[in-house]
Amino acid sequence: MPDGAPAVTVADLLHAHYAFVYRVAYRLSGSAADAEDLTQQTYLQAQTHLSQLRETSRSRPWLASIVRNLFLRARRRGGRAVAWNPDWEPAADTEPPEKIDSESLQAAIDELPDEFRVPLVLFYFRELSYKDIAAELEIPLGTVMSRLARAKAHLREQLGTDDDDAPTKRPARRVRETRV
Amino acid sequence: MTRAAMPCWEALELLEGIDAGAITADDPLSIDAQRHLAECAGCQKTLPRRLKWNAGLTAAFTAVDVPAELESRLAQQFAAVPSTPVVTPAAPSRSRRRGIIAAVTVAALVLLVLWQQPWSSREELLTERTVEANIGCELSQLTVYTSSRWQPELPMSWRAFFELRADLVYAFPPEQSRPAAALVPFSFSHPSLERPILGRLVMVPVSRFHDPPTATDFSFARIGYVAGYSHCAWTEGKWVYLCYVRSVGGAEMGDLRRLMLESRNIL
Repeated sequence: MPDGAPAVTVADLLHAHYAFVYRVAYRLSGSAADAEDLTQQTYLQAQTHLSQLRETSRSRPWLASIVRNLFLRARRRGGRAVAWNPDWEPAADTEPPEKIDSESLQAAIDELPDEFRVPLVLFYFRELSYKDIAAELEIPLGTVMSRLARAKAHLREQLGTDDDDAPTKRPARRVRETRV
Repeated sequence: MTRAAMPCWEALELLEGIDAGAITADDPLSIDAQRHLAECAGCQKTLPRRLKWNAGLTAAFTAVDVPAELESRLAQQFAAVPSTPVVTPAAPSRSRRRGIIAAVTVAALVLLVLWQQPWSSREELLTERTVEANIGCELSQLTVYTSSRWQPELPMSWRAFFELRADLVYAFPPEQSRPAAALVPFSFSHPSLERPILGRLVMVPVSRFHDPPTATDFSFARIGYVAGYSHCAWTEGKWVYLCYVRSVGGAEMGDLRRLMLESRNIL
């Protein structure tokens, strides 16, 4: 931390950002229990690595980065794989529903492999720019944008209505998770 | 430099990004996207719908109910944790419901480890500083690594390129009666490289490393620089890997990683 900067404590980070951390963890993991575990682990890591937080204004991106790392590490340990067709092409744009249902959204997110899911979650929590996401994931900017475009198209396809007059949203397609 | 015509999907993604604050409107990419929009009737028609989608999705993403009293539960847990950093982050119990089982399991594991390794409590954990201080040592100072307990294994992304030869795996750091880690020198050649990239990979069991890195993959590890070397460290499975590459221009580690990860597509 630069000289003169106010010292931030884990208690400060906890108070200010626990809800944000939990929400990111929930959207990544898709489970309340896992999200709570990830939140807890995130603050444990934050406590151990607090000296790495250079600017307090970057607390949220820093915490989001820890959540992402922990999520991917847990995922690797668990060996969860998601069925995903890499050749899949999105259908034409659908109309957005009046209100997007949180559970349907989660079901659609759960269908995405991690390399699409992670940038998507980081994008929609609006804490990171494209460049930040690229740096965070250490992939080229173009790859970030193409993954985001495909992931968003997937959400639109799963959650959208076929036309303006359609009264209900299309139910999210469920893909069974496999443990390997 | 002239950019090829921007495809519609990229222009729309960038325009959504401007709206979401993921890129500034004066970024050269944004300017290209706005130029594309001015000339593309399809994107002009699609963009308002996309922005409506994004507004709805942004609201929906953050619409997650946070459990009541989560903050106080976490605060209580942290109040019980010592304020000085722990040597290795203690794994939290999977949930409060399983807390007792976890505590018993941890206690059992501690007993088991103490029973199997009476010397481990006396052994100092290896630090990144110690690795850095010794990474340039002569290989002749090192003995061949032998351990019945820890069999070194390469990081997953390296296995397509390297195989571990037992006679080239050294005990590290030098001059320790019970070395904590294994070191393997490597040379990576590629047609696009003027000269091979020379480096050393240090492999340390997670339990024997002080403050394991948070990055979980070679591709995610941050690159740092120390005199004469670029380096990165990550925790993968039960190993902490520390990779040091002799650096002249500073790009060697980036090149190594890029070529290793990109080459998988060629194969």
